Amino acid sequence: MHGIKLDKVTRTFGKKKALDSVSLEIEEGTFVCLLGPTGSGKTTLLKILAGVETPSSGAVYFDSTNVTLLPPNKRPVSMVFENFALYPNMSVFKNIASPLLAQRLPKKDIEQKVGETAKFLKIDRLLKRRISELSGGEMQRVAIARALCKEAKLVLFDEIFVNLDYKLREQMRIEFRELMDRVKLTSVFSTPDPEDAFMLADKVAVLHDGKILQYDSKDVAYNRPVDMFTGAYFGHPEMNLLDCDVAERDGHLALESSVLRMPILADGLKGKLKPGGYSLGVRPEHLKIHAEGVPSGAVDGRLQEPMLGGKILLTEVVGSDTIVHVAVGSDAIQVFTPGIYREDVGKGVYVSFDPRKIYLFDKNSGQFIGRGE
Amino acid sequence: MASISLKNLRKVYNKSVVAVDDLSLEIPDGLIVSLLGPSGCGKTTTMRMIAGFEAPDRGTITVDGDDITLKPPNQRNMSMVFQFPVVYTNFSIYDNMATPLRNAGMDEEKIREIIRATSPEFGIDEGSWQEKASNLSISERQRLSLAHAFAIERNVYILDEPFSNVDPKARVRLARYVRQIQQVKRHTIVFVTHSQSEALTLSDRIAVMKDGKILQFDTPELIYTKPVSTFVGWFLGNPGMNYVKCTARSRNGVLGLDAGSFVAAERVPATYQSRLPADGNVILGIRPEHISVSRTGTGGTGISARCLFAEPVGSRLLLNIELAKNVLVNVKAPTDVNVAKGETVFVQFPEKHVILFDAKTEQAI
Repeated sequence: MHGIKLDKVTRTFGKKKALDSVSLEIEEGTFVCLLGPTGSGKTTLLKILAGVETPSSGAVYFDSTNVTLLPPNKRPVSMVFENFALYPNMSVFKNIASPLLAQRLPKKDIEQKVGETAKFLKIDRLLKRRISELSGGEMQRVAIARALCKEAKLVLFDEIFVNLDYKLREQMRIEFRELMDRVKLTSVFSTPDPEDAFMLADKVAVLHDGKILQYDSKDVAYNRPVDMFTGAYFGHPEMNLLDCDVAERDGHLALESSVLRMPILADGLKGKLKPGGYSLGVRPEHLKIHAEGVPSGAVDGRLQEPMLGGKILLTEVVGSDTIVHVAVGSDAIQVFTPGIYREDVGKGVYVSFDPRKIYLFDKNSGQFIGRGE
Repeated sequence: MASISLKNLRKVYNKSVVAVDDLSLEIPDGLIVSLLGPSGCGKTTTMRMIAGFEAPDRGTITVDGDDITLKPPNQRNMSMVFQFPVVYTNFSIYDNMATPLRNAGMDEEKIREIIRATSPEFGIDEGSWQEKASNLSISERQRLSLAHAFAIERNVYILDEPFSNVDPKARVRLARYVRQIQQVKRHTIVFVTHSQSEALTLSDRIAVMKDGKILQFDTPELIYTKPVSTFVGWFLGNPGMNYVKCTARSRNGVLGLDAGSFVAAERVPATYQSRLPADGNVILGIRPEHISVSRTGTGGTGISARCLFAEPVGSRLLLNIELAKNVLVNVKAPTDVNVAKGETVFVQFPEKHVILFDAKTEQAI
């Protein structure tokens, strides 16, 4: 196989398992987002790929060659850090050329290679400038150019947008995406921010407590999350999760909580549920806010949008959209509303959702059961 | 509760760095006013002059008509919350809140009454009053700093990037406490932030700053929908406003906007026709959510362009579209437009959402 493979990689630090039997196959040319909160093992995983860290058990393969014990300088890997780790007082040319200079290639070859790469990344006019004179976006390009020149088989990006000013982040994310589409490098990009994954990834690997919970295309991870954690985390904003019970009413199964009662009509759910506790997941983008309404569960036997009464906790503007935080019973629900919407704290509103768009999870195991359609 | 008036403030550091440049601002009584801008815009210096940590080189600051320009901070009757929470770690939560009240000479019974009223406004449970502040997380410390600041009645409350170091969930909670208490008590609050989202969430008015000057002072809605300059349009929104350089040209008697290899608008919106600059050079501004995109074009109109990427993010499709060489726009489209990367698409700028700027001054026309 062409690409990278991790086979049951475990890394322990003392008693703590930073990585717990992680297996992952990255096909050549794929951009993988390693998504997980702080402390989930992202950095350890990148370090093992780079060779800076050795697995306690398990193996790493590059194009079917076992490289588990190969030192970093022998690996065709390039790592891009948050601060890009460029030499600030050297020219752009020297920075890009540094891996080639280390290989002692002929001067002419280096000039040609750097020139071509810089042209491809549209930074050829900057070659004589010093790094300290560049903008953040330009530095990003130089760091990628250096990785390209090294002819790395794998490029690792370690939370490169995390501490950026949000305006710069938004701009660099778009530029970065456009760039990565053209260079088609096999890449692993670690981030705690699901928006990065939505914008950049071919595939997303959700990491939690040293384990990869799900490794899929964005579409699959979004529509069929394996469990509650993945469902909630891979969302922008996070999925709402409400405790509820499945109960039998007049021969039908119904979903019930203190604020909700709706029949279960979806074919995909019917055979899988039995009376007991569940978690109902509803994404903020599948909820709507209404100024007026009549609180209801669905009318028995008919599919109707459940409507819940609540009070506004906060209208939080995020960029060009608003997340409306609503208290419904004892739950706080987030509703995504396009545009800038401002309303007083404490105002009464109604929230409705499309029952076909729901997610159901087992309350105890957190396992995904199905959608409402 | 008080109104603040800043008149012609100027502050220069090291004889050459103009931090605040002839700045005037009227902060009305009972509103949350944000000073918003990128780092180095002068918002912090302005705030420090209001609080009294910095004396202006020129200009005056009055509170309810009283000149306080040279008064020391402790005589200004203002409370402040900083980016890094300031709590007395050896004290209990209760004693932290009580300290400014004791310093103000109140008796313990009155203090208890105030703390009992303030605690729930910040979600602080009475059962936790005796806990040491040293055990609190950063977010909890910031919550305590806010409670501590709002426990005492002041003319003005100054919040300096109070949410920058708290986690996102706590940020929502703290912002809610501030909004709620302000809604009820109509405090005058000066809120300093670099985050447009925080400013749009919390403020009644926003002063957008750059290079020591206020570019625009308006309600959040107007700042967003009617930016006075290309900078304000770009700075607010995620992604910011898109810009296309154009020249007004008459074609068959109709004044349109020519953008080189394509026509950006068949017709200059009526409200702008009489106000175009003499050379006709303008910048067309439009927000990503207002650009309409389709695969077929409606009625044979629209700018033919190439979609560089299309990614669904939540309920919408984020598109990057190349109108011509080096003319790119970001679009937030409904997911059902079904456009894919590499496809040819048709783009339109709906007239009512177009804002024109003078190409030279970059100011709205």
